[in-house]
Amino acid sequence: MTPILYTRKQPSIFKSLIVSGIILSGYPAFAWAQEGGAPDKAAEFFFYRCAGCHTVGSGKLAGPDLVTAAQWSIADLGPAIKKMEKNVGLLSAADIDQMVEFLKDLSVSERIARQKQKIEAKFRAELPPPSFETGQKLFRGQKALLNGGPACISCHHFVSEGGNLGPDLTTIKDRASGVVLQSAIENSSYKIMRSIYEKRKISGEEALHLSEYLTHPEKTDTRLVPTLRKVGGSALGGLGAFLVLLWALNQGRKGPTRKNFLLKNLKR
Amino acid sequence: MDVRAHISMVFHLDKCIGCHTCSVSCKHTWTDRPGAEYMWWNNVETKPGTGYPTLWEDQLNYKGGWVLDKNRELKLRSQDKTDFFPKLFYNPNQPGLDDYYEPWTYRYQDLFDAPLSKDQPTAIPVSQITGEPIHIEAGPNWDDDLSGSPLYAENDPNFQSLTPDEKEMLFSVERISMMYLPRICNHCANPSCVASCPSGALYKRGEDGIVLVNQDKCRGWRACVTACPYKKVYYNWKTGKSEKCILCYPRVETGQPPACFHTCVGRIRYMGAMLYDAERIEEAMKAPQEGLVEAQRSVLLDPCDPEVIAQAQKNGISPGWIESAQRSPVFKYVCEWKLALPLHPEFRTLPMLYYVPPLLPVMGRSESNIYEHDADTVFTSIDKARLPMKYLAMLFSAGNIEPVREAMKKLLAVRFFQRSSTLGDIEPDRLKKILRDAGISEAQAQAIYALTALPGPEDRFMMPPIQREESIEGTSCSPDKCKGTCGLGKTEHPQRGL
Repeated sequence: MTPILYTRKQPSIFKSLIVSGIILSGYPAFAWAQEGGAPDKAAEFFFYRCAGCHTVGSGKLAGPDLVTAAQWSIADLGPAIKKMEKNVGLLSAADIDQMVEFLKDLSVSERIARQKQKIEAKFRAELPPPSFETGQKLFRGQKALLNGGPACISCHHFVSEGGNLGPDLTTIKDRASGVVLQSAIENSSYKIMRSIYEKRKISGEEALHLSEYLTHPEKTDTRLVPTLRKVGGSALGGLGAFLVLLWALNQGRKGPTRKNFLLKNLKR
Repeated sequence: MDVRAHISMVFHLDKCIGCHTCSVSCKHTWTDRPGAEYMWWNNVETKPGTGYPTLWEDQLNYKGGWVLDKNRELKLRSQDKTDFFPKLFYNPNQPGLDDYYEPWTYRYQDLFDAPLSKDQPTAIPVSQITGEPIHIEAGPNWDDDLSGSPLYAENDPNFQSLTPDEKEMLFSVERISMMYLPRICNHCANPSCVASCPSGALYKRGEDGIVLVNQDKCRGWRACVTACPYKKVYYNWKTGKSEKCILCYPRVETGQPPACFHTCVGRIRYMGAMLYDAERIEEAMKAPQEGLVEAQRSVLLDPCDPEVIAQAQKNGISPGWIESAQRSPVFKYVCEWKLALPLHPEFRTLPMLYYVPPLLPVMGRSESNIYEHDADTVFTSIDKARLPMKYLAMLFSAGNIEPVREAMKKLLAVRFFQRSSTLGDIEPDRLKKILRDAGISEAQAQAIYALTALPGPEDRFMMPPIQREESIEGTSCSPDKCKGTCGLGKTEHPQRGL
């Protein structure tokens, strides 16, 4: 279950991704036919036009849960759908018939779940594979966030490093993982995070890498500071370079003028 | 032509008796305070000698002034773009306190407090820095009058072009000679100290060319101490800032000559306004070494030339200054008579203090050991002078003997002229020949004599009217806003020390 994924708070990127996916691939039939499963046109239509405000059996969003629609008569359901034209644009008779049939279908929940999986699979296919290293760099601020938001480490603690303004994320994988975590990062709809990341959104790709990083605390290198050997090595190197510099500077002169002058001349 | 005004100086070395009155008056006026004890904004050196700080003329050691790089561009000898930063922290060419001396005083109180004893009580020397008893190893005039000293005089850096024979002659018994060289800041027109300062604290005043250190801006990096080839910027160990001769600008601004000029017993010092062409400085300072004196003269402008006057007025130089420059004794000595020469022009800083080389020890060597000359050998005696011409040339014309000989001939011709007018023992034709050979007219000889031997203060110091107020008005700091401030801005006590 992915309850956060389709809340009304943040449907826009998903929608636009889906829409652009549809446009780019001509029509989903072509793309999905290649993946194997036959396209469920009614389910697609539901996600495309209705799912922004309605769920079937997953609770109320902006619009009511449509699980009760199965009990409605077809005569009532058709005009009710027709009424939604003011929200979603023109609906043809075929569209309405298709939706009536879809909502009255007893396996509607399975069809929605299947469609959701298809969308997620497609969404995942569009993004690069999640990378632990990139996530780590993003978290630590070694790589800047695309839209310029502050690095996570400035507020959050993870394993052995980071700030303590926000909650410790070391055990976050026990509470959320995968798409949930990814969406939580991307939406950033928490009290403090929202105001920070509203104008400087974390992109979907970044969220993907970050969630990969946050779900693998065991892989984190717990030593941000270099090893003692490294420190000692560079300190020795620096000292050597400094001495070489002094030596080079000192080439022009052989010591205190007056002292040398007296030494040289009084020896005779 | 970019005409600028400069307050400029001439020291007539023939008249210097080496009494150090100038140094004392300067010390009492400006550097008699903690941290400044070792500073001698004015000092008098015996030449031949090693000077103060020790061997200051040896720029291979101290790396002051400018040099021409391989593209014949002027470049600071002390630093360049690559090494100026590390040199802020470690500069091996910077003189240390050892190269000057550790200032000391005596425990005079011991003379009064000593218990009854068979011995005379003594006041032991104590360091003015640590307060501990010290063994005095050097002082401000440590080589004073020590010509002939195998330690000091023989190691004068200016001897490098002399042959061992010439050196030996210079120091042979009963022929030892010396001269005095009073030195203050040259207030150069191409100052390397200003160019080297990382804080931008040094500046050259627009209205009169006096080079100053802004004590508010100075951060004590001491790049100027290294870069000044004359070693006339000093570091105050107490305030942590650098200080230098200010040409007594508070006196100059009120129409008085600086303290060292005013107190000079021999009246060797002349001061007056000069006009120079700022556009020509760079080109002139790139001249080959032998031509530097002539190149430097070419930067100075004739203040009577109508075109120069017009350009000067265009640049905002007041009629008072122009008039002062026209009557300036410095212009006469440097440009008109060509008697005065810059000290070490090979440092390429265009010093605005000029020296008339000394003729006095000239009654030199003749075969019979009688220090005399006759009119026939008048000019050859210059070449046989006890202080070799080569030596003077190393001091005043970057090794080129010609400008020095030219000046010496004129000085000697003036002597003959005066001898003829007082004793009448020189035939008029011979005198005319001498004057002609020296390249001066009778009128000029008369004028040189008058300005050398007879001048009153009003002749020696042609003080230009100073327009500090006008110049300040030209900037954002108007006199009413800056009331209670001096020329350097607000008077503040340094944060550290004092």
